[in-house]
Amino acid sequence: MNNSKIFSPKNLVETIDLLTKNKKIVPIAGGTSLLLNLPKDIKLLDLQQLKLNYIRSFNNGLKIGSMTTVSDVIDSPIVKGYYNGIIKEASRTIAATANRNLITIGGNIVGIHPWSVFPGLLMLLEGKVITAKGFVFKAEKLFSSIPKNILGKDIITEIQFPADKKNVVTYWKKFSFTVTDYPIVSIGIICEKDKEKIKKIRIVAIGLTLLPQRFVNAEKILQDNKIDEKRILSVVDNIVQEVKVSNDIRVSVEYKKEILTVLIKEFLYKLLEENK
Amino acid sequence: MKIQFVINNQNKEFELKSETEILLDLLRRYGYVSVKEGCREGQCGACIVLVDGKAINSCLYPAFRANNKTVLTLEGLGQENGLDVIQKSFLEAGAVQCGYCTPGMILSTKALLDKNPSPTEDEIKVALEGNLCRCTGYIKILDAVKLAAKRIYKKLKV
Ligand SMILES: Cc1cc2nc3c(=O)[nH]c(=O)nc-3n(C[C@H](O)[C@H](O)[C@H](O)COP(=O)(O)OP(=O)(O)OC[C@H]3O[C@@H](n4cnc5c(N)ncnc54)[C@H](O)[C@@H]3O)c2cc1C
Ligand code: FES
Ligand code: FES
Repeated sequence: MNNSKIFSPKNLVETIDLLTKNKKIVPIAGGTSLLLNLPKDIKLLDLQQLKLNYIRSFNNGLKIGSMTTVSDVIDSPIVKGYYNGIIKEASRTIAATANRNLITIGGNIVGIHPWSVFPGLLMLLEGKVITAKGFVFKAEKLFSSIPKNILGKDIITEIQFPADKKNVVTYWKKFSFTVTDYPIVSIGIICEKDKEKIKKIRIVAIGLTLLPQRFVNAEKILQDNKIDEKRILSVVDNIVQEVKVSNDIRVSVEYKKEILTVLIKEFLYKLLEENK
Repeated sequence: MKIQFVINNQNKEFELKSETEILLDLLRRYGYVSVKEGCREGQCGACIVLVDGKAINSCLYPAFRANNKTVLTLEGLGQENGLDVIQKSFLEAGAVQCGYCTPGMILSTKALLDKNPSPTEDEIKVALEGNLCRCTGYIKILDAVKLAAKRIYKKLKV
């Protein structure tokens, strides 16, 4: 192929060089978001030759290359058992098979939408994002603002998830009107228990605002405590007070809040039930 | 800009209209009209083709990416006088009404059965969940996929 508008760098040095030297150049990964809103007179930086399609275990955790597709994540035997399979389960809630064969992890993060699953998963599991220039971003930092602005003239090469933990309870639930529709809200929870006490809990939701939200104060109510009905209601109250919800033409803000509380209650009442 | 890829078992050269042309438009311009245009945003599955054996939405696929790859459209599966087993099963199960969704349905089925010749009903639903049909109500489509799977599995076992 001989052309002037598509660049297919073979290594990261070349990639950064092209990004820095060309003003109107945009990385293209799966293309599923970019092609729908392609700016005019743009040059494309095709990331496909960079060999960033891989899934590896390391230190009992996971490294996933940014050009790995969602389908590859779902099919991976390594991902299957990690944190009770929560990454696989959450990935399965992304769009439909033919979309998932194209959507990449890097594109899911940088082309962030309210429904983007991987930003939520990274926040939930305390993951990290690695860039071509060698920066390492903790998920909470990268998703404190729009990732594209934080990255600048850099690309994501890899995401990392920390060491797997056994004896944790995990939960990922998408609420939508059809299986493949964008979620009204999706919620992820991981919970470490010490007998009947909650040792550590993280609660993250997507679908509410552009960036994923973590409910730190609700987590504090539960942490180091035994779960009971009063505490569950207090958590729900707290979340309803603190949650931010953007407009969504499909449903009202109140509806979203209601669904969110139903999902959280579903998880917490199940925990309570198990303690009995 | 020129690219070449194997389409329906034949190596061919294609001239792109622009570097950002999508595969759906390229294929239709070259006469592969079984590839249908629906939503153009990855929601309906009418434009699904197989690239290197995987079902993808050709409306979201930059055509330049097909360079040196293998593409299958319905034209490559079977013709009127020699239908493929999946096409036959769709006809016999009554899974075709207006037919607009059918090419995408059949190609999604092919991608599934090539990988997994004996799928469960849930696996069939997952493979076809991105293919919308406004006519059939899906029941007969599920029957057709099961029928095709049965025939393919039987053949594999012999
Ligand atoms: C019908 C449909 C339904 C969907 N539903 C969901 C859903 O429910 N949940 C969900 O999570 N996702 C969903 N998606 C996917 C999501 O909306 C985006 O389309 C997808 O995440 C973009 O990924 P991509 O690999 O195609 O990226 P691209 O479209 O190629 O790129 C998106 C943006 O990211 C940049 N970029 C890509 N990779 C990198 C990188 N490595 N480094 C730096 N910048 C990069 C690009 O320059 C661009 O700005 C859906 C998509 C479709 C089509
Ligand atoms: S036209 Fe491609 S999915 Fe609808
Ligand atoms: S047969 Fe008409 S859309 Fe499916």
